[in-house]
Amino acid sequence: MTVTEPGAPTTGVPSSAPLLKARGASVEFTVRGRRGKTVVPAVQDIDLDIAPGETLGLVGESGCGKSTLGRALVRLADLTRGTLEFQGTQIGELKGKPLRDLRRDLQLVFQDPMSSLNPRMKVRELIGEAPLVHGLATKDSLDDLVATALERVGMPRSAADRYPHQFSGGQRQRIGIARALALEPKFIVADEPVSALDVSVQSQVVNLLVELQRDLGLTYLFVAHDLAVVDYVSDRVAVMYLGRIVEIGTDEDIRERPRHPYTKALLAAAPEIGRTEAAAPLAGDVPSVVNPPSGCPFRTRCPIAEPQCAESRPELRVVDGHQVACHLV
Amino acid sequence: MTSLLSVRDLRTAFNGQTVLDGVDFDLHPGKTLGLVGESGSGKSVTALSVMGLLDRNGKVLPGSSIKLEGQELAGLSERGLREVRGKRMAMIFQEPMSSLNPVYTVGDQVAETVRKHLGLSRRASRERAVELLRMVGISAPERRVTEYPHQLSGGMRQRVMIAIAISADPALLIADEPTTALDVTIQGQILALLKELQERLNMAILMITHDLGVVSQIADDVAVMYAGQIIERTEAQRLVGNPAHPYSRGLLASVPRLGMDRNVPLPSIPGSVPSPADWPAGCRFADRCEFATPQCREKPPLLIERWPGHEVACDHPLVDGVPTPEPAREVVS
Repeated sequence: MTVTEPGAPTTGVPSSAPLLKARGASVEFTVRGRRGKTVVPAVQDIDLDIAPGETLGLVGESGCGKSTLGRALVRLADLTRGTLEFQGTQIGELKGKPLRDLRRDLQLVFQDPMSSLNPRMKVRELIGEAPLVHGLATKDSLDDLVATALERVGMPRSAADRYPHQFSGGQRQRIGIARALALEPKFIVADEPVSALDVSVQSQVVNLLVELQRDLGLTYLFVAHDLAVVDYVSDRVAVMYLGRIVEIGTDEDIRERPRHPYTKALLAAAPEIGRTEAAAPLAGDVPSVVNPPSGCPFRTRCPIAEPQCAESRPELRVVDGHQVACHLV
Repeated sequence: MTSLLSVRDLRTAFNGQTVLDGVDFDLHPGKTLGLVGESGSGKSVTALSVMGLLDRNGKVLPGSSIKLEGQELAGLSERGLREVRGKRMAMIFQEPMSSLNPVYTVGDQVAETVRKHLGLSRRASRERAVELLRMVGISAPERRVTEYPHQLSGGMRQRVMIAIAISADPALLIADEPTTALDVTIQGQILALLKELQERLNMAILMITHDLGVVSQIADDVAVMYAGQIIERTEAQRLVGNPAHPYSRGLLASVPRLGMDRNVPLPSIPGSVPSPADWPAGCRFADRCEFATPQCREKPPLLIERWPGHEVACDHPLVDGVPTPEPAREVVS
């Protein structure tokens, strides 16, 4: 494994060997309809290194491919092109038992715990099922494992004998986190883990995730549309638009020195408490990924687009110490 | 100033369980009141009670008063309500896809409302539909009228809902989380549109939201709800700058802001909102309140005007984040 291979990101990259490494990662979905097949390129040509212990935030609007990328990184969506490496091993093509073994290390926390937790299962089964399958616990030792997992997320032992509907949204998300943690994973994709929660509870869960990372040395991909939450939890932030990363840098780079017009628009659009005058909203809608604009995918909504933007698609390059895909910066 | 909408002691129950417990507020013509709260606080039930759109398990209890332009709506027959709904007050919802009929074109749906409320002919209502779509910022409305809801983006669908809502020139628009399902860049567009239409049509807006950022951007006044009651009410800028109720303060502090230090835990409110069956006898927030005293748990605090134009239901309202020590119950005017 060399550090200087072509395509390797050049900045903001952790110096240690990455835990997870994607090169040219692309995910396409084929939709069959009355008018034949349509290929939906949800994620395109992603190069990404995620260091052990790091939190990488992934932001973008609905349909930008951020959840699909998250799922691809934990092998819940298959890559159509590109490679994926975990701890130096190629995992993009794994199948069968090796893939099942790998799943222990890679876990996902979902947005809506009510729809990701089986309503007919007690919390004990929900948390204990996977550890039993993976041989991390026996029927006898299961109660202890479940109790430990629950305590870690601030839930009482007695929760094990109850069903998901008996808990509040915040408690259910804690159970979802406990379930992911029960396998002692190394990498967790948290896909909008707090966006279905009320604000007063949202911060409890964010604090829990940060604390768990510190205690257990976890690595996170934190997917969210709320820039402030992402900024708070992340070491680095990647901004996606129409299936591609358009800017990536440290949380401070993105917050203080955003260079891509889309990142700037996202920052300006977030309603802020105490600000009465909103920034001029970005015009128009997000184009369809099936039929993206020529050249730069953002040019149809970009306030500074020029004719050249329609001609070629800008690649990520280093500007201001982090990477930006824009011809005009 | 006379109020357009005046709600007094509004109590609503579902299957005998009270979920709204004495809600009072006024909304003046052309103004925006933000009704803020978390899930289960009763903010949407308040909106549905005003609109007369509660499902059959829900009932506005006797003694409640909802006056729109002086007319009492509480206890009005369905037929009577139909004269008011759509014409004098209209509502838009969080998820426009579930409010639009998927098998009719957008034009049909806008035109239908226009025909019903304004009694226009088919052709005239069609023309009015195009005009309304243009008013809400839909480009090429002549072409859009022939499209179906699924062909539109989420933001466009919400614009269509707004077009339907304003078709009869209502005095009151109730907007229930109208931007929650939308992306931030689109959310800004919809809020700007609502503001623009409000000025043009002199329409009052009751904005129901959990998002304090939205409130501070669009509302003149704010009422904060907790466990079926309004616990604080004042001007929007005053509330975000000087929250007097510990819950309002906690809510404001919990909203993450850019540039916060990860080594410092985000402020949060411990516990969760009690469900109506578990409402405590005293202050309903006492179990989660860092300033609660034993007395707070005994007697429910009343919503009292502590400062001119600033009402709060707390016996130890905060001044600059510090609770006032003596429970004062007299009214300051």
